[in-house]
Amino acid sequence: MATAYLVDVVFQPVTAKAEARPALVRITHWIFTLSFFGLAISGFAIVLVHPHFYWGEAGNAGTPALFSLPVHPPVLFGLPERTIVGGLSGRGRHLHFQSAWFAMLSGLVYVIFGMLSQHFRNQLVPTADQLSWRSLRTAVRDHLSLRTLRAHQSYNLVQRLTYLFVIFMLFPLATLSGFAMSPSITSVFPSLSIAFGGQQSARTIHFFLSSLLCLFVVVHVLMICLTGFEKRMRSMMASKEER
Amino acid sequence: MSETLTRRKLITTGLAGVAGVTGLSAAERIANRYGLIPPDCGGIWGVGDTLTYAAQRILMSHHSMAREFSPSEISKSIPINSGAPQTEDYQRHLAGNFEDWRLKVDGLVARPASFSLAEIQRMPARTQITHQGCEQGWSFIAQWSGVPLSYVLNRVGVSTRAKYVVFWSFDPRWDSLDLTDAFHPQTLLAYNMNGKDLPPDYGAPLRVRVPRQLGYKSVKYLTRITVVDDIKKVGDGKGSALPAHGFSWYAGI
Repeated sequence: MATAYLVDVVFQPVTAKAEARPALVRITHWIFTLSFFGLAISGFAIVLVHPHFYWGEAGNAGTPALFSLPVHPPVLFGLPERTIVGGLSGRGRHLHFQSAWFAMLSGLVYVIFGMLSQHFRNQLVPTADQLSWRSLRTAVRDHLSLRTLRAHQSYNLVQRLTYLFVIFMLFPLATLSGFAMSPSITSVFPSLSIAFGGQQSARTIHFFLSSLLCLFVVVHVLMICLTGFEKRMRSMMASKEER
Repeated sequence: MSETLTRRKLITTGLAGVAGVTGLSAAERIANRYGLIPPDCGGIWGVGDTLTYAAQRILMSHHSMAREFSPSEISKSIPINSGAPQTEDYQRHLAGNFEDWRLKVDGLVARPASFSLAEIQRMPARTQITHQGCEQGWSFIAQWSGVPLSYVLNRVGVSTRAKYVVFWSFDPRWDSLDLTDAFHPQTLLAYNMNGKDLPPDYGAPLRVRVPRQLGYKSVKYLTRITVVDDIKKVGDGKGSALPAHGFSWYAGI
């Protein structure tokens, strides 16, 4: 009986309405949101300590940098970096990896659920009639003008392709490039480090992928604000009955 | 209807609660038995630290080897974050070419011993070219020669009760490794870097090299090695001087 109840809650049928989101999608979305903010803030804190990027296996202050960020690590709010709670990188690393665990676990639950429950097939895989240049043009124009987005019940082509790209390309690659920096994980999978062109290349790629993800979040939040913040937030928070 | 739903919810919540508590305590027993809990597992970052340590210990259970590189890949520049200790004690040993220096090995060992640098250099040596990453993000590749720590540990005879190997230094920094890393073939007590005697700033006369962890685990300026069963009784109980400064004891990531 308890199992039946859990199955009811977790696998409640997904209707064509984009608003009727299953509980598991809503829960993992918000755990993931918190984790992503943890990752972004701590990632920036870690980069502040050494804001130089290299290509290849190794790189340091004595080797030419590919590029550097125009930030000054030693002083923050007028205080030397190391005096702030024992250093930015130490605290930053703690927050980064703890957030990464929550992001990875909630992300995995979401992806497995999305595959088993047809959530991806119904909501994210483009429908047959969306796959034409004409409808792509319409979707892009709608996005830019923000005119018809309000009325839409399900995701249009631009949204579907973006979400698929973020879920199945950007996040997995960001995770793998993070793994490629770990001395112990690369001892088990040396090919991972080689595939990214070395540990320092992996760090540089990780930075660009993370920046793209941050850009996605900015646009994502912007679209929510522009298409009715309250309604969109309710649809990601409350179940169908509560609405 | 609402009553059955409430009862259903109560039963579900109750069952989930019982399962959760039982699962957690079983997981803790298993994790403790197989050494999957790091010494600094307390506090708000304990969840992440413990998950990382446990996952990587399981992943590396077949004793994976850190990548080794060719001599042409050795870095031309090797920065340091802190130079040789300025203490009178260290400077005296440095001036005397470390001829009176000895490495003490004690704790849970059958034959406590102390070795001179010459004795250590006569032990079977291993040379490896490995990558070292700093937690700050920079890195270098260098060649290291030294005696595998496992050789020294086997020579003094480590007790079956032993769990950690603690490293003491001329520095206030101290640190420890679990037995998996202590007995790993690439874990060295190094006295030679890039074909030359270890320079003072890089850890003379002897330093640890643990290529499967970040640079800060490779303690420099060694004076003593202690084998222990209970790391909680050493220092502040977190296995290293670094957790007090915001860094994880385990640095495989």
